Amino acid sequence: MKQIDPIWIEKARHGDEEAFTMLVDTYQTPVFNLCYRMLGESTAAEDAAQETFWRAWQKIKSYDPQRPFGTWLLSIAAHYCIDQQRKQKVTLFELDEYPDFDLGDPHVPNPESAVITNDEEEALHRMIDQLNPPDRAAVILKYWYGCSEEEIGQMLSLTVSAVKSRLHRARRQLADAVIENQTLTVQGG
Amino acid sequence: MNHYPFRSWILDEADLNDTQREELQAHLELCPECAQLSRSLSIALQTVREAHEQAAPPDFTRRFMASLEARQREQERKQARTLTLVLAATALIIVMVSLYIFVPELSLISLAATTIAAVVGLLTSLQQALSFVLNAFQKLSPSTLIISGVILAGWVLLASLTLGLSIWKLAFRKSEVRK
Repeated sequence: MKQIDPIWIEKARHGDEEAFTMLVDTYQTPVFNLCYRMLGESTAAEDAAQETFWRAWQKIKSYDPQRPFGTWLLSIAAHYCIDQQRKQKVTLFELDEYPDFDLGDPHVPNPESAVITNDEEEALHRMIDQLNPPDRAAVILKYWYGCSEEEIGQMLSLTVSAVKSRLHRARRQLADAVIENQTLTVQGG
Repeated sequence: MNHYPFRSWILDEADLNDTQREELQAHLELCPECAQLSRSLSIALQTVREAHEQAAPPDFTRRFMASLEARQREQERKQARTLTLVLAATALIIVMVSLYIFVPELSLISLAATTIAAVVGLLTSLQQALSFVLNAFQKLSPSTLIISGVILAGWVLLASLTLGLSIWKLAFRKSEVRK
């Protein structure tokens, strides 16, 4: 994850909106990615990411500078997404919610590679969709952001043993999903 | 076949020493269940690790900064509302306590009864006034009603024109001052 000069964080803590803009600019992608992986849908992920930064702006005075700023932000985002999923029990990862590919957009791959990417994304979504929200958050923080079990515990307000237990259960479910998928492929083929 | 502790080692991604690693390898060669679990977990975790990072939509920062001002205003309004409610509640409590201390003979029940009686009386008077107006309308001849209507409409029109003219003059003067 990108790091930012602590001077900007200090300025933002004193209410400097321009400094906070720098922070949003720097951390928007990790925060959005976490929300997207948690919620599985672009619009909901953007709303969640916007809400994360609003909460960060409100709480920034209580931010402990000893803690990495990115980790602090991801912690806010993870808690918000877990709460949202508990409240709404949204239907996740529906394929018809995927954005259409626009050939004019340089960030979007060509149609052939887009199909492959979409298939991979679909497989990934199907796998992590079955995990409950806190387990999913633990998996995302561990394997996408490389957080240690201690960091995950701090971010999700869990003990280290609870994190280990959640990761153990999540790995079991992920492996089962692959086995099930392989079984279906063999039966279908 | 006994899968302990091999299944836990696989699912915990345990840090194994050389001996343990050899034991696990030997078990995987003999146990198809644990071998499948190990393979499947590797595939699953590889898929997760290799997934690309989803970039935030374009203009994300601009949209956030635009919403920040609106959110701050809304928060200030909420705080003002809360403050007003707290002040009103405090004032009410102070009044009640003062009444209790300085006018001990005053009964709160009788005060509430008097208030309700006053409200009922006011509503009854309004109802009587309304029925008087309706009766008057019924007794008046159609020509009188038409003349009264025209006069009333004329007053309303005149008042609207005067108000409109005042607003227009004010706006015109303001724009002249700005220039």
